[in-house]
Amino acid sequence: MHLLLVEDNEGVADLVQRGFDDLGYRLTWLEDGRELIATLRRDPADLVILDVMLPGKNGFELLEDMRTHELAVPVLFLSAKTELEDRVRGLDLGADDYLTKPFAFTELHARVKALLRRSQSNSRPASTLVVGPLTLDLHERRAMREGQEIALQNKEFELLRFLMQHAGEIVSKRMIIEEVWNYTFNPGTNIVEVRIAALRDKVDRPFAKSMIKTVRGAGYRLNPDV
Amino acid sequence: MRTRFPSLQWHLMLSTGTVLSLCFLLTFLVLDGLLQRNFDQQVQSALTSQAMILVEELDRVGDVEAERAGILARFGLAYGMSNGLFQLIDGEGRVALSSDDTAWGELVNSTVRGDDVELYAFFWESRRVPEKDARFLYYRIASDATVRIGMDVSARREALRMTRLVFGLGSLLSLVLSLLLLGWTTRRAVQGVRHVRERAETIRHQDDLSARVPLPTAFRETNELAETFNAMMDRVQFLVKNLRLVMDHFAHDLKTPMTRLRGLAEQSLRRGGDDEDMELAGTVVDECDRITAELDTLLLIARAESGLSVFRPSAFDLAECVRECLEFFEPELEMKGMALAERLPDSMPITVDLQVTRRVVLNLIENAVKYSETGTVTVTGTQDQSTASISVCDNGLGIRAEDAEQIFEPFFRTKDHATREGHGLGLSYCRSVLNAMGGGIHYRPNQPNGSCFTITMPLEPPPEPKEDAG
Repeated sequence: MHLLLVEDNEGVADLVQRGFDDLGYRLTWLEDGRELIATLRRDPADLVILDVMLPGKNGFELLEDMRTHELAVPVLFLSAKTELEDRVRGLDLGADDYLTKPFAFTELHARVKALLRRSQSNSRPASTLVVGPLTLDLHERRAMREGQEIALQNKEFELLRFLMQHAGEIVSKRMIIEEVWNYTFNPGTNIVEVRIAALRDKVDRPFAKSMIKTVRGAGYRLNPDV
Repeated sequence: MRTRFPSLQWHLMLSTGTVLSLCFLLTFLVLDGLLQRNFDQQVQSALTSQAMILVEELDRVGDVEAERAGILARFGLAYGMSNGLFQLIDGEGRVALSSDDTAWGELVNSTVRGDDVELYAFFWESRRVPEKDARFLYYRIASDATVRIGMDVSARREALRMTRLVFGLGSLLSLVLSLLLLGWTTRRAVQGVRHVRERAETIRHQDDLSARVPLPTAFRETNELAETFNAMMDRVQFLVKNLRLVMDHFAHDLKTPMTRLRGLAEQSLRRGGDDEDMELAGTVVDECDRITAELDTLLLIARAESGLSVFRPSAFDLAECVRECLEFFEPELEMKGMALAERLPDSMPITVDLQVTRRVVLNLIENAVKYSETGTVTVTGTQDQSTASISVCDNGLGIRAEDAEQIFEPFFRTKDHATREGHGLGLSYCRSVLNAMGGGIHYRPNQPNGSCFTITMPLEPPPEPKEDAG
């Protein structure tokens, strides 16, 4: 997998670079957008990560350039701006996702993976999710583990689905709030902890091994290898 | 307050109208007085001189009845039989001799008694029938003889009436025309001022800082006003643009090192290590997240207070939204053993920014749950024609009366609450975005203890002020 990063801050770029190196991705880093089009032509990337505030052309302008040159590669924006206006603008322009700084690397990774998955398989989403011994029937809204049915409340079901879609990855509280509850900010409650605890009671406690892990300072991970 | 002041246009028209009317009325009265006096004098002097001539003639012929009758008849013919009447009245008040009086009809049926008239003094009398208006002069020349001269003044009086009418109508027409002209000019003059005001309103309502008053307006003064306003708007726009830029750079410059810091700590967490290192890295990550949230909220408050917020209104059910928000806190309420009283209508349709509304409502519920240990959190929703209100009341610590003024200030935290988690920006955020949306937030103490916060929001976003053409 080849990723292209345009980010003017060396520290942040270095961090992202090392993170993706550890995970076995190949990442090309550009300090600004001047060489972006040429670089993409020479060495096509599977995904471009664009900072919004850049010297010279900003991220929005670079995206427009790419679309003018008919480069359909998925784009993920990084920005220090929190305004929804920018967010909407980013997505209007054909950006595929958006992450505000400071971000969790795990979250960046999760989003990158999701985008790559989306761009590579155009097949319709599966009606059943399977992770290790866990099976989730999205049509019937039923969850099974080791042949045993688990009764889940609505939000617990959505939470488990989200964890299963990102099995093996660390998902942050912020991602859960955003994806499961559709809130763009932290509502200031321990709702995620409470729902995760409830989910653990149902998915893990009756069985020998627990699948839902807490990662200190980062979030949660659904462990597929049980 | 504004309605208590008259509009400039009405004020000008009213004062000019009053002054003009008074002038016209005064002129009319003076002129009419003069004309009337003139009329009286003319009639009087005509009658007097006729009387003198007649008396002289009568004296000349002496007391010869036939001669006297002849003189009277000649006088009648000379002045026109319907215009002038010349008579001699005897001591009993009977008409002794007369010129032709056929045209005078009942006007001459009676006389003033000779005794009422002093010797050699003028006695005046006016008589009027519908078709004739006459003036009579009695002049007693002997104890048994009084001369009566009549004059038909209908035509002269009619002329006087016509003069009055013409002048009156002319004045009225001038007055109306002046007022119309004045109204038109002041309207044009005031229109320039009104343009500036309407444009300013537009800008205030829709935060459209690029709007300018179209030039030229009708007059130099209004042009100058509009130019000054436009120049001021240029300045405001420039400052706001700079402010926005500063805020963006401020956010960027702070968040980039934060990203690195958080990333490094996260990397340590990912790679693993001893418990102490993990604890440390975890704390760094948590702190970074906390500072970021605080910074973001602060920027949102600054944006809202400087009118830079961008709201994205959508139609949704506020009651449903509040119920959803309450769901977030159900576990915590349950844990604390607190009750929840939900007094919401089945549906409260509203068109505002959903994310902002959620955040405000969550903030209020969060405070209610965080600052109470027992009792009930009561959430009430009401709605009238134009606004929706949500109240969140608790039985918690409440707020001291001396603090009530300051709770909406950024970073203000009461002594009672200082030890609790939070950064003291929640209420400040709520107030700034609600004000920017055209709503508001109010605090009142709950009985017997605790606090009540009520937010109000307009059901519809403020309408885009219409573009004024011209």
